[in-house]
Amino acid sequence: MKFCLITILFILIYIQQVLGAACCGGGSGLPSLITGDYRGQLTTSFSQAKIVGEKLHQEIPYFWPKDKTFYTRSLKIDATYQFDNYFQFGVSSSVLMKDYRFSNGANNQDHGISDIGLTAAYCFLPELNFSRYRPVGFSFAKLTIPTGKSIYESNDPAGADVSGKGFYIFSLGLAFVKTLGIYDWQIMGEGHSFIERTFKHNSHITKVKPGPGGSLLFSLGWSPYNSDWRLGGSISPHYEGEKVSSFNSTKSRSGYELYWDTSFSLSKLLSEEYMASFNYTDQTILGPVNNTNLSRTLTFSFQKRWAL
Amino acid sequence: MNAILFVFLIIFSGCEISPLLNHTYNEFAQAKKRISSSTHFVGSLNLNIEFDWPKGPNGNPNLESQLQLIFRDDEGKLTNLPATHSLFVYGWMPSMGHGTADDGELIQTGMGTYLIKDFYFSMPGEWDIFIQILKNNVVDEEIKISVTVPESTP
Repeated sequence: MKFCLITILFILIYIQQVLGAACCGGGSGLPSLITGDYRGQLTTSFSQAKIVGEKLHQEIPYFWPKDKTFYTRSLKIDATYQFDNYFQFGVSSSVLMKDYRFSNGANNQDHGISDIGLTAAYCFLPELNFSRYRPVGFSFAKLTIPTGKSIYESNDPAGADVSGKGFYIFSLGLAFVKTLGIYDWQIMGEGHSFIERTFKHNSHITKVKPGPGGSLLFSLGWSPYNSDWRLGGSISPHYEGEKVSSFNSTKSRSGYELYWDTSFSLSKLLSEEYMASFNYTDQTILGPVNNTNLSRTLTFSFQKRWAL
Repeated sequence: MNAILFVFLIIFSGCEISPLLNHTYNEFAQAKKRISSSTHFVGSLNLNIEFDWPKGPNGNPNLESQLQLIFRDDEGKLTNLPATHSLFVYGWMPSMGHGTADDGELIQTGMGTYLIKDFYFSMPGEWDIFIQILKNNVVDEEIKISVTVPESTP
C-alpha cells in the first residue's frame, strides 16, 4: 500500500512536468489531477525553456545560431483540491520572464502573468477493488482565462511581453492512470476549442478565430527497487488548428501548429507530504512538427500535499 | 500491455521525421527568395507600381525595414497619386496569423515615390505585404506582395 502511494505521488508530480513551453506563452490543455486519496496538493515549479529553433510552415526545421538565445523562465503555482473521492477542482497560473537575445546583440526582456487555468475533474472509474489491468479513470474539463498578454496585444517587437494565448479556451478530456508493481503508466487526452475574439491594439482591429486543438500524453514510470525514487518518460503531441484572422480588409488562414514534447523525469519522495522532481522536456526529438518554435525545458518542482 | 506497447511503437515511428535528425542551420535553405524588386499594375489608376527594399527586409524585430513604392504611368514617367487617393501599407504573416511589430510610417520622398520607414517585422518567415490604394478614404484597390523575410538582409 505504501508503495502504491509512493508511485501515485510520483505520477502526480510527473503529470505537471510534461507541460512543455510552447510558442507565445501557451501551454498544454492537460491539467494537473489528484489521482490518490488526498484532500489537496500544491505544486510550485521553476522552469527554464530555451528556444533552439523553429519550424515555419512549408520549411524544414531551422536551428538557430548559438548567439541567438531566447529564454523563458517561469514560476508556476498549481493548486488542486478534492471535495470527496470523485470530484476535484484546480487552479493554476504562472509568472513568465522572457530574455530574448539576438545575433546582432539586441536584447529584449519582459515579464508577465500567464493565463489562468481552472480545472474540474470527476473520477468515473475508481479503484474499488484490485485489478491488474483496469486503470483509474478521470474525466475533466478545463477553462483557460486569458489573463496573460497575447501576441495581438504585444508592445514588444520581439514578443518578449507575450505571456498568454489571448483566448478563452474550453478543454474536455480523459485520463487513465495505472500502477503495476514497480511500473506505472498513464494515458491522457484532451480536445479544446477557442472563443473568437476581437483585439483592438494600436488602432488596429484584428478578429481571430482559432481552430480546435488537442493534445495527448503517454507516460511510463519505474521505481527501482521499490525505492522513493522514480524514473519516468513521456511523449505528448500537441496540435492547434488553423487560425482564421481578419485584419483590415484581409482575411487569412494560418497554418496548423504541431509539436511533440518528449520528457524525462527523476523524482524523489522526500516524505509522506513532500515531493521533489527534475524534468527535462525536448521538442526537437520527435516529429513531425509544424509552425512552431522548438524548445528545451528544464523544470524543478516541489509539491506539498494534504491527506484526506 | 501489448496495446500500450503498440501505441508507443506507432508514436516512435515519428522519429523518422524528427527535427533533431532533419534540420538546417541555413535560414530558409529551401525557401524561394522573393526579396528583389517587382512591378505590379494598378488598374484603377492605370499606373505601374514598383517595389523595392532600400533596407531589409529584416526578420529581426530590432532591425528596421524600409519599403519603397514607385508609381509610373504607361510611358514610364514618375506619377503622383491623385489628390483624392492615399496609401495604406501593412504586413501580415499568414502562416502564424498575426501582423507586424510596426507597420511604419509612409512618407512621399519625391515625384511618384513613397517610402515606408520604421517598418518592423516581428519574426522571419513568409510575409504578405498589402498595399491599399484608398479613394476618399475607401479602399479602391489592394495589391499583395509576398516576401520571404530572413533574420537580416545584408
